[in-house]
Amino acid sequence: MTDTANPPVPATPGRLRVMLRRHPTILWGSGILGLVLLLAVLAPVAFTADPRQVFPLDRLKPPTGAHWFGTDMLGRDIYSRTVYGARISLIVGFSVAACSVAAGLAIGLVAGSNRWADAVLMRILDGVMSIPAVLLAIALMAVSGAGIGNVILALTVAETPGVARLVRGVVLSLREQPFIEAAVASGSRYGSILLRHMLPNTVAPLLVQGTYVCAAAMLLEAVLSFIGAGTPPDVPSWGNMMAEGRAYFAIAPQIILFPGLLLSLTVLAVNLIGDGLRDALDPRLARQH
Amino acid sequence: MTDTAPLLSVRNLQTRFRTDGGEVHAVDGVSFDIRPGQTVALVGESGCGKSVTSLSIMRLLPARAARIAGGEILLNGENLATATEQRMRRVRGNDISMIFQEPMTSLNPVLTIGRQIAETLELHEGLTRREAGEKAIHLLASVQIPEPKRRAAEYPHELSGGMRQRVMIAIAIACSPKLLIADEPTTALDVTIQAQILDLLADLKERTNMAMLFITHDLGVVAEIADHVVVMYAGRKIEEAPVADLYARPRHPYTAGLFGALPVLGSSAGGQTDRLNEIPGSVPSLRSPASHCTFAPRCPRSTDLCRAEVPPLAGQGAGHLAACFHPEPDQKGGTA
Repeated sequence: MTDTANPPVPATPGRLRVMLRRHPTILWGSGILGLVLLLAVLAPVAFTADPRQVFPLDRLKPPTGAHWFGTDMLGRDIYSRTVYGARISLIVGFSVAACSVAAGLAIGLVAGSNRWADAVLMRILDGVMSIPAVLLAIALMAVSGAGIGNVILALTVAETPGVARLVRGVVLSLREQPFIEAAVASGSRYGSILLRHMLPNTVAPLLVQGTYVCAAAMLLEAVLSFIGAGTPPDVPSWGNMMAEGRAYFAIAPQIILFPGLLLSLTVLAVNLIGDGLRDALDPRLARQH
Repeated sequence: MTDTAPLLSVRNLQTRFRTDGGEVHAVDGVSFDIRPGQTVALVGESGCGKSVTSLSIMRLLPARAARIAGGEILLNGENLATATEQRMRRVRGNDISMIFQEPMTSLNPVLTIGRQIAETLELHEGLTRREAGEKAIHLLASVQIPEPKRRAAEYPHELSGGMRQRVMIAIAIACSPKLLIADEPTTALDVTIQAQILDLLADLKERTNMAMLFITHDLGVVAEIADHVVVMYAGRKIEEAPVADLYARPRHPYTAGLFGALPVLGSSAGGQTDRLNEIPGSVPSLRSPASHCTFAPRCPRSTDLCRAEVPPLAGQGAGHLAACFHPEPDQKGGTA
């Protein structure tokens, strides 16, 4: 955790511009993600039809002027379904990132501060981490039933331990820092040191970790839906669409191609932002100006 | 000076560290007084216990590994060695404050310096955020930082090492402490900046009548700032004297050796390339309490007596104490 020992400075508007110019991947990632986000928000007015409406006569049509991405085996418009599916991916990705960062932060701060709590919490998290994320999520979905809320819950449980470990590491390394000793020497309580001195120092690594969690959650959601343990079949999501189109891959590849393409593109965008932020917030690289 | 009551009185301080190889007697029976307005320098080589002494006074020793095994630390008569943690939080930063060696890492990199100064004020003086922010700017001005208002909004990485140490001093004096502990405050700075920081500390001391415990291994710095010097070796006080007296007549062979090891400017100019005088050997293990003079193995004057008994501190003139059976002769006239 050496990069947390000397974390960067919070960005002000001027600094933000410099950071974006020096790390264009952030700009590229944000651009792509922004487009997908815009499409998802504006889905009802983005030249879409009802994603659930079936046109039995127009089954398995290749892309045309009427159906930009073609139609699936029930004659549903793939473009509309892909655009609405973006909503699911983005909601799951951002919600899981936000929830697991919040939960991981709380657990990590407590574990980093108290040896007894550390021993108990870390052993529990070790147990959770020893189960592959997909299996854990499938098990939780089996218990709780399909639905977006349950997908978010299951993926949050799977992703929280990593965040908690990160925060705990940051707190443990910060505790040895002279400025923390200086704060103790000026008479501060541990609680206020935790909130005023340590918390701000966790922002940069958490921001980076949050983007990775977001990307992983989008992929995991698609995996869960693909194997039928995610969003219910009546809700169009990228994983569902790919699962349904699997049997028709040889004659109608567009059913899998377009949601798969958008999933890759969105995950790529989030990872580009994450990589850019990591480089921008790494003090060893930030010093070089 | 000697007739005023001491502000801080350290009496027979014993600080021990638990290690795998047994207890280490890091500080073994150290006593000294600091009077209001006085500057006492604590001198010794690395590992002699000078920093542990200062951390003991602040009660900032690592709780799991170290303990104060005996002795008293009296601040205006109140024993800090047995004070509650709650009480110590009120003492720290308010009655006694501390500046550290490393100005580069002693400031939080993600908070503005104005915020960091204001924090102590909010904590101890109960000022509002706004009042504390204004006073922080005054404090920056009082440690001679130009454009204090602009500087207060900056982050530590935007300041030079000397500036950061000034900020540390501003934080330390924010609540007008009675005692300032400076643990090698100039070691990490280059020489011209060192001089500026020492001038600033001397100036602040004069303005506020604050007492200072100055910890250093740099005898040049001691001569410049201290009134009184305590020399430590292997966890024990081995010599104590007013600064002028110590420089004129060091009595303990270790102190004399330290002075002998100082480079003299121009000494190798005329083709002479003499080595500096060194003190042979290394610092002894502190695993067991001393049963003889700890310096004896390295001492040119040691005898069988030194290897058999611990020399007591004995008077060597006004305010001058040395723990040695065979003190250095007084070169400027007979022994006192």
